Parts: sequence; structure tokens; C-alpha cells
Amino acid sequence: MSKPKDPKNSHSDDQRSTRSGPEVRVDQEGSLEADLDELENSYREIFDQAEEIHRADYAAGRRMAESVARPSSTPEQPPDMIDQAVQNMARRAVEAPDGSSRRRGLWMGGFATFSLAVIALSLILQQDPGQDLDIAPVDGLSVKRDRAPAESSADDLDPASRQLFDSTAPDSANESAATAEFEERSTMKQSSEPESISAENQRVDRLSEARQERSAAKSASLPAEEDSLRARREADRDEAISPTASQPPDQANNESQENFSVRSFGDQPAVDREDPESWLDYISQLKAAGRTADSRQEFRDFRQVFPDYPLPDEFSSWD
Amino acid sequence: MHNGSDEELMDLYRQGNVAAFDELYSRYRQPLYRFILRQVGEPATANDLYQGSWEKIIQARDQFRSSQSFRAWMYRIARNHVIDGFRRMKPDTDLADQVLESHERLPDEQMEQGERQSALKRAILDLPPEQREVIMLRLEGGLDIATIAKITGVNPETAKSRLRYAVNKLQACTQEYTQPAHPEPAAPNEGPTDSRSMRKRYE
Repeated sequence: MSKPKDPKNSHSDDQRSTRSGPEVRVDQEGSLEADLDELENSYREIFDQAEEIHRADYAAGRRMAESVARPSSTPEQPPDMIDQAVQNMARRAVEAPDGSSRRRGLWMGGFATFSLAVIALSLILQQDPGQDLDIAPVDGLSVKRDRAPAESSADDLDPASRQLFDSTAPDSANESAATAEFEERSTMKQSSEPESISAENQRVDRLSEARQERSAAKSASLPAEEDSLRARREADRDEAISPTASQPPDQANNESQENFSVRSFGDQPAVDREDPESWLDYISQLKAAGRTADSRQEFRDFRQVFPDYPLPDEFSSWD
Repeated sequence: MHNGSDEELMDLYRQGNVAAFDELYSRYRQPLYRFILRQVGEPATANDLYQGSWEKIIQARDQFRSSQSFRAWMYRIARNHVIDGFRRMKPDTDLADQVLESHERLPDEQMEQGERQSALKRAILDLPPEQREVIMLRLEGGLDIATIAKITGVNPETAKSRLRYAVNKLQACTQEYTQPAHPEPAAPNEGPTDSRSMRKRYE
């Protein structure tokens, strides 16, 4: 052990070394290192004898209570609980690394973005449901689209409602307009088939006559309305002459979408329920095909719509 | 048990090897604890700061580069954490009281641990915090002057000067450990040893 130096002298030594150049400073540094080593040895001698025992105890897995029981030991060591806490902390940090949480965060972010995009897309599609149906009809073919369940039509109505729907004796101008609109749609559908234009005209005429008969029977005919209907049909005929392909896609869609009066039974031909003759023909075909129940049901529907229409002989017994 | 260097063990731990950390921990458990205990003088505070230091070391493991010294890196983190602890102390918590409390317990400890240990502990606690910090980095951390200067953020000359004062005082204590340690007059460039000046220094 070296003799302790006076701090004042030591300080003045440092000051001298700074003033007198690098060589003296090296000497002072060497002296300091030597003094530090000496102090370190003394420090270890004083503390490490006991600490070595502690270190050996720790390495052997002995805990503090046992270690403190030694006569020469000093309790200058962290408590067991802190040791355990630090080691658990280190284990958890490795088991759940930051990288995985970052990846999890990225995955969650991506999923949230995707979900948001899906929701936004579905909202857009809900707002404009007809956008995906903008298909121009091919020349000579009518666009017949399956109706959505939510869409109501005359065919889906119960007979009483359908009768009301098909009524040609409207009580108000609004109903008249609705009927005209209905007729127009029905006719426009037919106009998508150019080869049947003349037949269509005949059917329209027949329909008109039939309605006139019914109107007369009900004593509620409105001549002015009939005139307007006729004018409307004339206009329809003119429109029917022009090819369907020249129509704007929206109109074609509307026609196909609201094609109420046409129903098809599998391979059976479509039937126009506005035309009593055509409807009766259809019932006759069903009957001939052996579909008695269907034909009976159709006949009942027919009678609901046309209660006073004169029946052919084959159906006279059904009435 | 691993026999690799500290840096190798730290690398292994970063790759997920917990046994490597356990080995590293057993190597530095005692020196780091004593380094902190000598700084604060009070075991309860030392326990908190010790656990917090390891927590910071674990959290900062990805910032460690194997080209640097693990020991210096670890002591830098611990030293900064101790300084943060001083800053966080409530204004009514006077470190001088803690130190005095520690001193008051010394006679009992002397009975158990020996007079030399107690005298040296007291001498260390009597050092100004700047000197105590550098001398403990040397005695417990085994760091050289350049590294100590880097860790404490001073130039090497200042670090040497602080070490010189500390060495002189502690040598006097180890020479005459049975005699009561007379506080040396404060150096012109060092502050007084009371806790107010210690906290002021770290604020």
C-alpha cells in the first residue's frame, strides 16, 4: 500500500503536468494508473473475499438467506426477487420480440385497410345497383333477366291485387298514366323482336278491343282515356319499328327489368297475360301437355283477370 | 455455461438464447449492484435502480453492436439511469439524509462486516458524486480512463483529475481504516459533498 497523497499536492501536480508538457503528463498518468491499481487491489482485498463467496453461492444456486448465514459474508448483492424479475424480463423480451409485435401491427393494419375497402365498395355498389347491368341487348334478342326476389311484379301479386293492377278502368289520372306506362313497357319488350312487329300490332289491337269490351261491361269506360291509350299505342308502334340496339342501354335495361307480363315455364313459350286469347292458348297448351294442375291454376288466374271473357268450348266446363 | 466473451453472449441473447443472458447476468450481477449501491448509499433505492438498469439494458439490446465493449455499454446505461433516478427524486427526499442514515447504520455493520469495509464504504460515500462515479466505474467496472471519460461525458483530463482526488482520499482510508475518516478539503473545481449539490449537478 502506498502512502496516501495529499490532495492539494496532487492537484498541484496535475496543474504542473498540464503546464510542463506531454512527458510530465505521461508520468502523472502512469502514476495515477499505478495508484489506481494499488487502490483496486486494496478494494478487492477488502470486499471481494466475501463477494467471492457470494458469487460462488449464486453460481451454485444458493439464495441470499443461505448466503447471509455465512459468518464472513456481506449482503451487498441484489435480492433474489430482483434476480428473478430481471431474468424473467429477459426471457419475456426474447420470447415476444419487438419484431413480431411490429409484424402483428402491420398485419392488423393491412387487414383493417382491406376491410375498409370492402365496406366502401359494397356501399358504392348498393348505391348504384344497376351499374353492373349495363349490357346492351344484342340485335334480335330480348333481354330477359331474372327478377330479384325483392322486385315486385304483377305475376307475384295475389289475384285480387293483380286484377287491380291490370285494371283498364282507372279512377284517376295517375292510374291511367300507370296503365299506359305498363302497356308501353309490355309493348316495348315485344318491340325488341323485329320479326314480330306486325303480329304485335295485331295483338295490341286485340287487347284494346278486349279492354273495350270489359270496359263496356263494367260501364266505366272513359273515352278520353281510351283515346290517350290509343295515341300511346300508336307512338309505341312507331318506336317498335326502330331497332332495339339503337335504344340507349338504360332503356333496354328498364324494359328487361320491368318485363312484368311475360312468364316462361321452362321450355314453354312465354305468355302474354294481357292478351286473353294468347293466355287461353297457353292454358290449352298446358292442358295438352298433361299439366292439368298448372292449366287449372292458370285458368283460375285467367278468370280472375278476365271474368267476362267468352270461353272456348274446351274450357266451358271449367268455368 | 458459456465461456464466450461478453459481446458474444450478448449477441447470443439477442438471437434468443436466454442461457447466454443468464451467464452475462451472473458475471455482472454483483459489480453492477455495488456500483449503484455505492452511488446512492441506500439499498432500497439501489434495488430499484439496479432492476431499472437491467430493464433498460434488455430493452436496448438491439442497439448493442458487438464491435463495442459490452461492459462500457452496460455501465453507461446504468450510470445514466442512476442520474435519472437522482433527477426523479422528490424535492423533500434528501439524499444526504439517506447517506447519513447509511452512516448511522455503519457501527452495526462494522460489527458484522469488519471495520475496513465499513470505513471504505464511508469514505466512498463521502466523496463528491463526480469523484464517486469515476472511482466506482474503475473499481467495480474495471474501465480505463478513456472509457470512463467517454461514459461520464467529460474529457480525459477531467476524468483523471477526479480519479486522482478520489484515489488520494480512499488511499488515506485504506491506510488508516481503523481511524475515523476526516473529510478532505473540497477541491477547487469540485462541489461540496452534500446531496443538494449532487442533485443540482444532475438537474
